[in-house]
Amino acid sequence: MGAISDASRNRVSAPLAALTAAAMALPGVHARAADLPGANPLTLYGSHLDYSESGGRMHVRVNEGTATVPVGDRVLLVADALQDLISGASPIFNAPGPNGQPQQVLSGASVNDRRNAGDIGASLFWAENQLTLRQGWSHENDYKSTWTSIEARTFLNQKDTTLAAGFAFNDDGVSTHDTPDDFKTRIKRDFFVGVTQVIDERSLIELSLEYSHSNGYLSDPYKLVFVQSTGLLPDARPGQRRQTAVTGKYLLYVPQIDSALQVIGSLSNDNWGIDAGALEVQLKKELPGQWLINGGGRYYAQSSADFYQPLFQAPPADGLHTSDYRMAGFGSVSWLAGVTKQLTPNFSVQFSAERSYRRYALRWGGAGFSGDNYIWSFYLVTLQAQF
Amino acid sequence: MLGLYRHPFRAMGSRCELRLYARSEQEASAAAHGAAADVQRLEAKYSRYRDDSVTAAINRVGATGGAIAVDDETASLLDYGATCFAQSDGLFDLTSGVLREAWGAHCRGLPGAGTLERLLQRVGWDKLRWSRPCLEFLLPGMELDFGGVVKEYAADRAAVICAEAGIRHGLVDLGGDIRIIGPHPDGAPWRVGIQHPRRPDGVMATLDVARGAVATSGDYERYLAIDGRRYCHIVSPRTGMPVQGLAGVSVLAQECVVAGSATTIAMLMEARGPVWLEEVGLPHVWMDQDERVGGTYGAAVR
Repeated sequence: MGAISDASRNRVSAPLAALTAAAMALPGVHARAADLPGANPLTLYGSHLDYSESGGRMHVRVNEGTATVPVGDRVLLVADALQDLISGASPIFNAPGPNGQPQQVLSGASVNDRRNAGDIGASLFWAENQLTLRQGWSHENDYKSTWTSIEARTFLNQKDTTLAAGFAFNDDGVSTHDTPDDFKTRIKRDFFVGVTQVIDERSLIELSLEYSHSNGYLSDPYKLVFVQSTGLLPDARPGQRRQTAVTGKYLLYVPQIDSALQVIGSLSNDNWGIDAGALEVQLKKELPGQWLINGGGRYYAQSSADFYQPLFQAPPADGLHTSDYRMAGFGSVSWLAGVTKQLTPNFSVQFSAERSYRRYALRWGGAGFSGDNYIWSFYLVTLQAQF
Repeated sequence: MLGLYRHPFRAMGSRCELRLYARSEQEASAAAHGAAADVQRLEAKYSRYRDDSVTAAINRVGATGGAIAVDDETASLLDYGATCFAQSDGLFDLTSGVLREAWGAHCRGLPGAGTLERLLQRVGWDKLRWSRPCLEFLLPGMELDFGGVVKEYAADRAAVICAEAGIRHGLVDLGGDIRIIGPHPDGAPWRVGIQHPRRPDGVMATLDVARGAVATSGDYERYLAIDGRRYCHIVSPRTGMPVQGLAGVSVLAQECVVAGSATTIAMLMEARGPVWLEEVGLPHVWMDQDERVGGTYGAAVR
């Protein structure tokens, strides 16, 4: 039901006419039609991300562009394209050092990869519901991926409660530079459910549960393991992985400091034996002149995979073995900070930076070694324009 | 993709909130800051408590009698006050603020008849001469109070500022005075719950509002309880006594300032308030002091 019934609109009484005329004379009570921006809702985003690891290791640059355009009131179309360039070296395996301790062996400055990816999608809106379908592709010399996702959201209680559920299917092919045409299949299915609840005018909470199931070739074709008795063997992981993760997010506006506090915690577990937890705390504050600053920290820790060892004495009986540093037990501490400036109503620029310290000593449990300790940092520049 | 962003803040002695649908937090924040800054500007400009406010400058002249020239915005508000005075048969009166001396929060008992009589001599829009831009107090000891219109006026302006910043869907809520920027993105109206005048956590009515404004006035917002009787903050400039009759009234109009003055006038009309609202022809809902509910917004009243 509209605010003003047709009956009362048709019959304007003398008092109402007088009050309305006096109200119309007040400055700024009605928008002047000429001041209203035109209905040209195409939105474009562009961003550039730069990621680098200490010690001349990986360097990744990502350029991304996104366009959204509504079609009528019920459909929103989205297209996204990105290109990333990866260069540098990464650990291939660990070899015993002079004192018997493992030492990382990096690839030479060999990796130089370009990835092109994109996706298209549509969101449909009806009543208090939203359905989003997306289809994406990603391509590089030794990795290709096709994915499809569907996500449904429904808004309840005057939009104070949002329920969400989604499914994504990834069909990937993995090869190597040496055998570029020999693609091995990797399939991943992701399911998630989530709820967002506005608690009051100052706080909201979000909870989500995610389950993913992967099968196929899940090893890393570029990684090797050093086995004392036999020498180097290719990385070999189970053909199935099941991961469960739960994430909670709490947002609180603190009027005393005119800032928003954001706390995100997550726990995950998989059948490879990796348990992981993360806690991130950030403070966001708006400053006069359309500035937004944020800063905070993140702690992450994981245990090692059951089939991980920095070095192996003999080949394990089940044939599964990895020395990939990402499968090791480790923890990390990160600092993050950012600043956003709204330059005009249609144009904003954002800069954010993060620096992380990976430490074996902070691991959740399991195996690992301090030779994997390193520092990485990245910065992200986002230009956002809206037309 | 539009997201709903909430921007709570305090101003004009009330909890305020902007609810804006925007494409990004930055877009919402840019609009919200512009709107909130204007609300704060008006609060400072028309505060009774600040020596540097326009209200204080006017009242310094009012204390002694004399004339003052005012700026355009203040002149438009005075014109609006003059219209309300005329349309309410003199009940809506920007000069009635001095009666707070008898009924303010500091009062411990009923004022004597002599006190009210003395104060009423200093009340009356017709005791000043308003000829834009010049306001002349013909008697000393008078005061103006823009409190009855500024909050609603600020809500209207805040909504327009958000609309001019590109917001199509959202609302401005200044302590229950609400101006809609536009309905939810799917066209659904905003659901506005009106507080029950006698049950602090109860709802008297739920109004679905897609455009325009809603304002509410009631005897429960600020009142004195003396010997078990409720004396509300809305005081009749005729008798000097707090109004009786209606416990609460909400009015819908295109502009919040019109909705707000209609609620105040209906309260001041006391038992005649519902009839007056009927004549004015704005959708409304009311509850009287015997908790009877009525109005023309029947379908949504529950």
